[in-house]
Amino acid sequence: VTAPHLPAETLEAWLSGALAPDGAAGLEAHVGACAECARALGWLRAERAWMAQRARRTPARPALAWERLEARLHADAAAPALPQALPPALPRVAAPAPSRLRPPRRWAHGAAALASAAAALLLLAVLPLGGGPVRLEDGEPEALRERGVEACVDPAQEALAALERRLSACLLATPVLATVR
Amino acid sequence: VVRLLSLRLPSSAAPTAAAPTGEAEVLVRRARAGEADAFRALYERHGPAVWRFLRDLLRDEAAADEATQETFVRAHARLGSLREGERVGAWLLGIARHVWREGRRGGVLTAAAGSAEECEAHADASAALPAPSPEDLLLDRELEGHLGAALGALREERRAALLLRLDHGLAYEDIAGVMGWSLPKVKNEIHRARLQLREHLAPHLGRAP
Repeated sequence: VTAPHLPAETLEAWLSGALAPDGAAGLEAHVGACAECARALGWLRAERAWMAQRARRTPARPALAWERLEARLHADAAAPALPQALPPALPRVAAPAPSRLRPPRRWAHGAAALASAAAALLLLAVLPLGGGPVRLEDGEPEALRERGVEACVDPAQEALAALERRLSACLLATPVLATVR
Repeated sequence: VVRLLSLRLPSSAAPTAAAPTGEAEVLVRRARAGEADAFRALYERHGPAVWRFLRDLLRDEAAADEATQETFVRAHARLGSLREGERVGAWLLGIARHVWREGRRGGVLTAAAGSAEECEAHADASAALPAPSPEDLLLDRELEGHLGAALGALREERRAALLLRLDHGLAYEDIAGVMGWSLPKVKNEIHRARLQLREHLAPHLGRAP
C-alpha cells in the first residue's frame, strides 16, 4: 500500500520547523522514500529561498519617507470635509501638534477631554484678536459653549460620517490610484 | 514641499505578517491612541512589505509608492477597526489589496500579462518537474528576472494569493480573509499558481536532480 503524498502545508510546516519531532521524523522518512514528495519539498525550499532573497533586495523608496506620509495625515486631519464650509477669512485653530497625529474620528471621543482643554487654551489666544466665528475641531463645541462663544460647526462632516456608517463605505477615501500615471 | 528622505528598511528579510507579537500589539494600541511614533514604527516595519506586495500586483514602482501611502492613510483612519489579536501585517495587506482593486476598477491600471487560459493548460503538466538543485537556491539577477516574469504571467488574483503565502507568510486562513475567498479556493489557487510558476522557471534552472 502506497502512503498518500504529503500536502504542501505539511511540507511547509516542516521547512519552517513547526512540526513536532515525531512528525518531522515521519515526514523525513516519507520524503526519503517518495520521489514526488521529495520533489515537492525541493520546490518549496527553493521558493522560500528565492522569496527571502527577493525581500531582502526590496529597494529603499524615497517616496515612502515617513515625513511624506506624516504630512499627508496631518493635511487630511486638518482639511475641512468640504472646502466651501470654511470662508477663507476666518481664523483657524486647533492645528495638530507635530508630534501627535490626530486620532481617527471614530475614536476621537476618547480624547474629547484633552481636545476640550486644548481648545480652551487656544481660544484664549484667538478671542482677544478677533471675535469672529471660529472653526472648530471635534470635541471643541462643549468648551466653547461653556464660555458662551458662538460656534460655527460644519455639520457636513458629521452628516458624511453618518452616511458612511449607513452605507458601510468609505466616502472620504481618495482614489489615488485612479490618477496615477 | 515634501521632504524626500529614505525610509528605513529592515536589513534582513521582510517582516512576516504571519505571527502576531506582543510588541506589535503594543504598537497598535499606542497608534490607536494617536501616538505618531507608534504609527511610524508600524509604517516602517510593514511599509516595505506592503510596497513590495503592491509593486508585485501593479508591476509599477511609482504606482506602488502611491498605493502604499494610500494604504497607510486608510490604515490610520481605520485603526479602530483592527480587532484585538488580529495580525496587523495581514490587515495592512488586506487594505493594500483593496487599494489595488479600486485602482484596477478605474481602468487605469493594466491587467496582468499573459493568458490565464494558457497558464491553466500548462499547469497540470508541471506537477512532475524536477526539483531545483541546491545551486538553484541562489537567486541571481537573471533568475530573479525570470521569477518576476513568472509571477507577472499569473492571473492577478492568483498572483496576489501566492505572494501572500510565499512572500508574506500568511496562513491560508488569513489569505482567505484578505482575498475574500473560501479556504478550499485559497488552497486550490495557490496550488495552481505554484505549478504555473514552476512551469515557467524550470527551463531556467540547472536541472541537477
